[in-house]
Amino acid sequence: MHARTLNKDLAGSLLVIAIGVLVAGVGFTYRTGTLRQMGAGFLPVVFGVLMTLVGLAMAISSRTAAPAEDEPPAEPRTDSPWRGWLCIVGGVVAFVVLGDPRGLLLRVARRAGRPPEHDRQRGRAGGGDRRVQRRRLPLRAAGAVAAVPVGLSEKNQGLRARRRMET
Amino acid sequence: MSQSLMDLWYGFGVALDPHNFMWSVFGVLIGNLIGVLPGMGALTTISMLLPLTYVIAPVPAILMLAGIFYGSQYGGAIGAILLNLPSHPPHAVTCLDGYPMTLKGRGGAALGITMMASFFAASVGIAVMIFLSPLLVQIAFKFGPAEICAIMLLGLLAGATMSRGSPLKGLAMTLFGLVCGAVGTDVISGTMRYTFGKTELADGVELGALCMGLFGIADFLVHVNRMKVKPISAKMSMKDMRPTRAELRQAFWPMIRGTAVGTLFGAMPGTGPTITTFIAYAIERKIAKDPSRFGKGAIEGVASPEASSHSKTQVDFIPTMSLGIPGDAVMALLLGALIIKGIQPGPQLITEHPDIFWGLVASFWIGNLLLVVLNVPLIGMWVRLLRVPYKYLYPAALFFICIGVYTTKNSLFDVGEVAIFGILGAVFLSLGFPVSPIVLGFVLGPMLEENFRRAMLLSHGELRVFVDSPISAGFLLACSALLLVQVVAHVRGARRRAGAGGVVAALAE
Repeated sequence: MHARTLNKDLAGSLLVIAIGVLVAGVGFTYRTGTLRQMGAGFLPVVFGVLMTLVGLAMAISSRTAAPAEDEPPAEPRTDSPWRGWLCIVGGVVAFVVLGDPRGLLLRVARRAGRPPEHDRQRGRAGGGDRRVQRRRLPLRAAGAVAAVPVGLSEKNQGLRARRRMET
Repeated sequence: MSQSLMDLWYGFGVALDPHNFMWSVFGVLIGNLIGVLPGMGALTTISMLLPLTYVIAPVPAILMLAGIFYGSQYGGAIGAILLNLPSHPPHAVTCLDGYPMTLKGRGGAALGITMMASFFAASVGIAVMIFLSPLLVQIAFKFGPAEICAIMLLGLLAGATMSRGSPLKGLAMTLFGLVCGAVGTDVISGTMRYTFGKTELADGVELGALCMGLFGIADFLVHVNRMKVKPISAKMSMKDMRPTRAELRQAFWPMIRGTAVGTLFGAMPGTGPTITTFIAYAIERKIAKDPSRFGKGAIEGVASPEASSHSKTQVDFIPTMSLGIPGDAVMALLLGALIIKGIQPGPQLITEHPDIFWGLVASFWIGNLLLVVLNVPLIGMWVRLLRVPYKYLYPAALFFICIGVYTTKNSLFDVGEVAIFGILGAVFLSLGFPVSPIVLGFVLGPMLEENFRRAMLLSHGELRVFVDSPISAGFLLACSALLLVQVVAHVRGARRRAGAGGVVAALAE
């Protein structure tokens, strides 16, 4: 556990340094100016440099100091998290992709040949339960209710796409 | 004094206006409802409901957001006491003694005490707010850009270093938030910064998208397959909520002490409610005749932290409203909502928008009263809500997040931002970074930059201006004192090495 938190601190500091360098680097492409006549890039560069410094300080302290652990230990995972991660991020991404009018057309075309029940087969299981598909009914109802007021406007494209992902 | 009372009377008029009142009730109800749900803290709740406020007028919007805030805060206590599930970090302390009380069959009494403590503490906090804010405003009018910069720096530093976990990590996240705030068109020169050629980013990152990514999606990602619904045996009815006379007597002084702690710390910018509750709990344990009772269901351990967190919540509004400096991420969100509405926070807010300020103050009282009225009959329903399985809860929340962000500007790009900030937030969280300083930096960033550049223009590029003015010099002194305390705590912690708890433990001593 100890070695792992140390690694985590080091990885975190590397990430911070990377972001800091990137921010400062991009910031230099804007006009920085002087203190008397500050350009758009002045403060971003300052933030980036400070971030890099903080990251360096973290890297140094991760070697010397014991990490402070005041978080309660997380409950062990019951299942591989990848499926959940994929579904959560995929749901949002699909909202964006299918929310596009072209996405809607595609969806309507696909849906035409299917019985409505079939639409909701794949479940996004947050709880690691593999038999969730059957129990999705309340959610569908909620989704349908939510769709009623919004459905009249142009927003329904996105909503429908979303509902598809809820399945 | 009498002027304040007159203003308060006016505020009640604003808050009781049917339209405003309706939104206030709605906010409290929905905040309580969502706050009860496992895993939904005040931050998640507010960020999810933020888009709702975009369509309504500023006064009802802020009343509703404030209602959501304290509603969800109270709702979180229910989960903490009955299920040992702190959905909002400050409630971690409430769990320590609240859950053992539930195991002993006194969970209802713990909830009753929580309700009384929060109402009492909130009332005191509101009273302090009424009389302190106008005073603070008079001082604040003497502030120039340099002073505002200095106090913002203090707020940012305090928010970064006093949150949980490593102060360096907090600092890194604050800086990251400042960078996020810099995205978009530079107000002074019109240069596009960090937009990567995307015109959608010209207006900057969307506040709602940032928050929902960081507090919604990131949280879900981290908790995937980790949360289990705990079976709940306690049946709760109105009768159970009445504490016995002995319990009341036992909880009375802790409640007052907790309120005092919360009020004191609320006035300090950046001290989060988590630390406040920890300190309140530590004090109770220190002065108790029999400290061994704590952790086994001592009612003092529930009353004092809850009182402190609620009085702190109210007092926190003072710097937010009168100076425009938010104390923590929740306040930063409220401030962000005001800015979206085109209202510039700062000392002029009370005089320019008295309806917002005094209406808000009055609505606190009404809202807290509503909480009591709502929770007594509805407690049975809340208990049932605690059993909502995550597999329904999270997809539903995800659904509302997407819809909420999308409808804000009808922009699918913003929904993509949610995904990106969600992934970023999850990476940060899993590496042990606190994410709430990001919001603080994000909201304060543009204001800080504007004031810093203005100060530099006025002083012709002389950084000495920050030391020349006694007010800003004082704030900078406080900043360096804060850093010094952190360094000392760090060195001491490194020397002890074995000691866990880090800064929080050092502070609570």
